[in-house]
Amino acid sequence: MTSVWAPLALTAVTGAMLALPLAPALVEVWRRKDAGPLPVRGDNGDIRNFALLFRQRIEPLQPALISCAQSNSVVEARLENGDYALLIGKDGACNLDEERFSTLVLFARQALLHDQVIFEKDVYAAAGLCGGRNNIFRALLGENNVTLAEASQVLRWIHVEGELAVGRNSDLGSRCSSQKVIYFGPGCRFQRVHAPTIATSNSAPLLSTLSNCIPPTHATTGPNLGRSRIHGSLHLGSGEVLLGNIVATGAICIEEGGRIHGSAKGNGDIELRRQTRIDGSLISTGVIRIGAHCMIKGPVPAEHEISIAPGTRIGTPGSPTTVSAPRIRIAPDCVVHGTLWARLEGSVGE
Amino acid sequence: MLLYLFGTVILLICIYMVRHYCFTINRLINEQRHPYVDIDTADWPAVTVLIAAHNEEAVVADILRALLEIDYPKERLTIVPVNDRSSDRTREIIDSFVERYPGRIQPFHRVSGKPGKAAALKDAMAYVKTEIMLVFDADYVPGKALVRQLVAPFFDPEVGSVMGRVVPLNVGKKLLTRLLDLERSGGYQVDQQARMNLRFVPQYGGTVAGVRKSALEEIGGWNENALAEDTDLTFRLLLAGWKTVYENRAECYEEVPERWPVRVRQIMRWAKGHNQVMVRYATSLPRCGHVSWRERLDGLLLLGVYAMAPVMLLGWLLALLLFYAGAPIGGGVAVLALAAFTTLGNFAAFFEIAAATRLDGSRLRIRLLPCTLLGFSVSLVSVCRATWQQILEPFQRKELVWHKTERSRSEPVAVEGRAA
Repeated sequence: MTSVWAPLALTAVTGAMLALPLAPALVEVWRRKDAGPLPVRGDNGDIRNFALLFRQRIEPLQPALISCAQSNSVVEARLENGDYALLIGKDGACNLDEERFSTLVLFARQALLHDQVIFEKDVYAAAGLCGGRNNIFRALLGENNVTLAEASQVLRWIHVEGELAVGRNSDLGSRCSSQKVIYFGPGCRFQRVHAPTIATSNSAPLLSTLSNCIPPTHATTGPNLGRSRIHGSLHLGSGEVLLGNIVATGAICIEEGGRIHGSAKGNGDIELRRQTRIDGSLISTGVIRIGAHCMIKGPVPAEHEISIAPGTRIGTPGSPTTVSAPRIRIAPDCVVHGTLWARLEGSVGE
Repeated sequence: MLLYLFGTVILLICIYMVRHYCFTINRLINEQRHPYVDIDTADWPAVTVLIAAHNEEAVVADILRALLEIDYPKERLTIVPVNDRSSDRTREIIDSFVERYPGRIQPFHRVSGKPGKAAALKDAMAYVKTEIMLVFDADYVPGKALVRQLVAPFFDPEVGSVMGRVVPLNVGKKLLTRLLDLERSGGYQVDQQARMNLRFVPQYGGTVAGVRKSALEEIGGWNENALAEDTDLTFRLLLAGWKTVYENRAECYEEVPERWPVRVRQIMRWAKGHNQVMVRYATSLPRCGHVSWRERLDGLLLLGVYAMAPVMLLGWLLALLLFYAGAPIGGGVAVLALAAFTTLGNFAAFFEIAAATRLDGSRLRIRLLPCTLLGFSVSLVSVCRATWQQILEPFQRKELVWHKTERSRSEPVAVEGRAA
């Protein structure tokens, strides 16, 4: 008996030992619990997506909001999903007792907020909104102009259909967009910002001089421009002009008044001195330092950091562009048309 | 003599093993490079999208539908389906779209000429009037933002081509499709992205990809004699001083083979094409002074990936032979065993696949990792067979034959992506 069972037992135990590590695989093959395709990005990447979803969500409350505005009252309403919303129909300063709102807040008319108010849920402003100092918003959608006072904070996103003015030392969350213009005060911090015009100044006259800054030529790396490859660093002297796209295996330095009729790529740091001009894109694998009163037409991505000195303009109203880097430091009196995207930290200088 | 040969095999395996570990550790630990991913606003240039289609009646409508909904200025986007000598309903389907969407699609019905994707693309160049062109195979289903994601790197004047990430769509159909899904994850999520991080040579893959027309013209256009026109293009661009960029977040669904014979033919074609490129550029690349040393090193290793399958098989045979001959090969066998555990497969190492599934956030499919041994074995034998055929072909005076990958899709695709 022993002679029969021993080899069988040995075979069974060995088989089990071999099969045991394969058991999870066999279970997954059989049950197919994780057999779907990996999710891929299906959206269009629009910065306003959260705002548009929020607008859709509060759509059922619009009739109540209108009647609230007509009756100059404050009422509480409920969304289909059970969330409470405070509908405020009063005009001007909101003499509400709360310093902290834990429900959605929908302003039907022009609103003027007190200092130190905290909105724990999203805020909707059907008309203009003027914030108080140290206000904290989770998210804010404004259908008209919005002004955030000094040291305001937006934790998630803000989208404004009109003009957005951000007071000094404010801290904006991950997404900030306007359909018209965004003014940043000194000391503001940002991550992803998009608007036809982004100006780091509170003075509106700055924009009136924009139209004559950059002529409306085609922005990107033109098809007929040749490409030159420089082994090592590129140094363009003061007032010198370079025609075509340029790639340097090292750093790039362009002296005052220099100009490139095309795009420039540096596999190292790039330094633009005062009043230089790039008609295409400016790309660096390191740091880009842009001097005062420079003009750049195309995208400006850097892999480490970008610093922008006063008076610089990037993009044009007819040809918006992107400035992106993990860190962006932008001085007052600069204008960017399009997107400013600082993955880690963006700040406006004092 | 045999011992020295065995030692060389072990050395080569060790080099590739270290390479796989470096890529995986870099991907898991180091900072990731996505230099163009944030360019979402720009004066977008005019683009031509070429769709390579040879007998693609099962899938061509899906890609046309997806491209018509793409988020890109319509007046700057030209869609050119390259109908390459199709004998099925491909032409009829394309023409019906042309009729329904006037001015959006410019079809190129190729009725004669040399077979193969590269030859078809070469002929289609007459339709490309733009500086940037994107290439998709007909079984791909691009998302709304994909064209912008693939075009953004071309603002960099150093970039000659761009490659996006391929994600299998028909994953749940068969065990084979699930294994290919794991293999693709390892290849793109880890291998390609690590090469991008390390400034090595990301590979242009011929689909979900873009090429700068002036760069292509500079290197002499599409090589119609190449079986792997994508790998061929990668190395010609590299030698001419152009960069290939990998965009890991430019993801696109594809249909992977559902039958083993189809997979075997596919991998054999890739192996032959890749080996062609290896023979062509393995000597010129190390001597190319303007290419950085790291690109030259990685380029050489990339050229050799398909050659490693026969090398590994040779290693095992030698190990057996030397063992029975009584040679001292203990250490070598240990290395082979470690290589078998970590870097099996010519481009889909186990460790990479495990890391990729973690990075992709998919929890249960990692359980299938032991099953990739099956995929590896089939690949190993197929690649060895392809290499052997390739060695014999000059003596047999056979011409290289283009095997099209068979499609299995039966229903239109409705893809829902995740939110931003």
